[in-house]
Amino acid sequence: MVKMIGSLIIILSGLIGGKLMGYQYIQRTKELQEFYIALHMLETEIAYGQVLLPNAIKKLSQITPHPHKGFFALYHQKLQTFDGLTADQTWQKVIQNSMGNFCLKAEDWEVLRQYGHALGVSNDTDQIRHLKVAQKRLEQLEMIARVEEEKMSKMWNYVGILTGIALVILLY
Amino acid sequence: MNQKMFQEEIVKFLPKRLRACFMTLEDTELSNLQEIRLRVGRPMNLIFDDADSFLGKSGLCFDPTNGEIILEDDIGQTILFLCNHSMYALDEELRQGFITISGGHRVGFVGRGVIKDGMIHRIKEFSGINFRITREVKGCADRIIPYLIKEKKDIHNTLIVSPPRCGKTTMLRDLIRQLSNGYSSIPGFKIGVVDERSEIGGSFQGIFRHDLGIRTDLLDHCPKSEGMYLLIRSMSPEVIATDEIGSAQDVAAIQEAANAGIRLITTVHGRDLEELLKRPVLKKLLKNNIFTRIVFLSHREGAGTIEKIFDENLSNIPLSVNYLDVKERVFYG
Repeated sequence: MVKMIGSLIIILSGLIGGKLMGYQYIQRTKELQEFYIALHMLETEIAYGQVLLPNAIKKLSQITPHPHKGFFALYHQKLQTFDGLTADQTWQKVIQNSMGNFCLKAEDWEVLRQYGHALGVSNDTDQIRHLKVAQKRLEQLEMIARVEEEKMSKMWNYVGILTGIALVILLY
Repeated sequence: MNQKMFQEEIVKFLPKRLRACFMTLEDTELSNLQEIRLRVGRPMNLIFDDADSFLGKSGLCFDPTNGEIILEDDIGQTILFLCNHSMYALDEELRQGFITISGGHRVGFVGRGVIKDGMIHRIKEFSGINFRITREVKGCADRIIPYLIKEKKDIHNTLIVSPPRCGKTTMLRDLIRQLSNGYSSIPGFKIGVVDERSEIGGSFQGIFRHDLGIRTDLLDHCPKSEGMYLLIRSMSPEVIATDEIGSAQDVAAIQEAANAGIRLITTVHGRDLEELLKRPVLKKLLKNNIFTRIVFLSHREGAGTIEKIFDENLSNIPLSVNYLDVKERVFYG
């Protein structure tokens, strides 16, 4: 009886482990989607409202979900301090500090890093052009991430269960 | 201005590497500071009330070779900080060549002009920046107010004339404040101010920083001529005040306001009467006797030195005569 319960626990742990590994892929897709939406909102603020960048970022921090909320809140806070860094330098710094809170991959961050070079430094037409490029690239990454999510989350589910079963067999 | 205020209002817009230089300045030096000039490849130039110096890592000096050399990147970063990282939102400022920052300080810049339809569309590739430090000097208009009083509850239409950096705007600001608050036995006027460059009220993001008196309505960042018509229609002012007139539209609006029974106080660049009369637009105004007091300022004994006051017939009013002891009725702030 004890052996049965123990075996069940091992198999369940394997299942949970597999789910957790697969969660990263699901989360990455969601995060890319949220960044896409956030940049779309930023575009509206710049194109129609001509809102100052710190104010637009503050708005994003109020309407985006976690962990994007924290990302934009930190960026807004750093922009307001006038510590001698440009919007781009601050953006790169915030990305560096926030990477651990996201499940995004290096290529996802690269798109955001590259967009940072254009932040606030040109007229609205140019700003919108850069935003569109970043949105397009995020959209492409999201599509790739979605395919990967389907494949990898299933695979990690199987790996989890099978690892659990294999451990039980080994223990017997 | 002390070091703390200076850091909060001016230095925060400068790149990190230049900020340290300003830490060497004393409060007394800062209170005399008029301009900070940054030019690519040239030493940092500071203009004081009575001196023209250079600023380096070791402090102020008269030798340009000891001044901190400004890099192209310094100018670019300063412009970005001035725009609050949002160059797209300041098209009009980039076209006009200046930005007004918190505290009412005007920052002018030059570079390469982008021309569209024969007009400056915007300025890019910036090569020089000039921070003009604004000061609020309460009481600086005390000496001219007696000459501007016509009778109880009425003042003369007044034109303040001087070359740049002689205190025109500072004088105008104090005049507005005193006339708005009231003086001697007169309770004060309803004053409408059209502040096209946000210099009079020092308005930044909608909030004005300078004391313009208790009966003053400020129309900020609005073209003078349109602003004057708007004030006449909407705010029923007794006096309209505005800064640096010069265009034909300004003159038309002034004539309209004067004919509507509103008193005017305004300023214009110029050194003497002859110079003013050479400008066709101003000549028309002066010949029509719209301004019954024309006050000339200079820098002879410091900014705001009253040189001459003329009446509507362009006759000189002796400065020692007609001096009345006018006391501010209310002193706020």
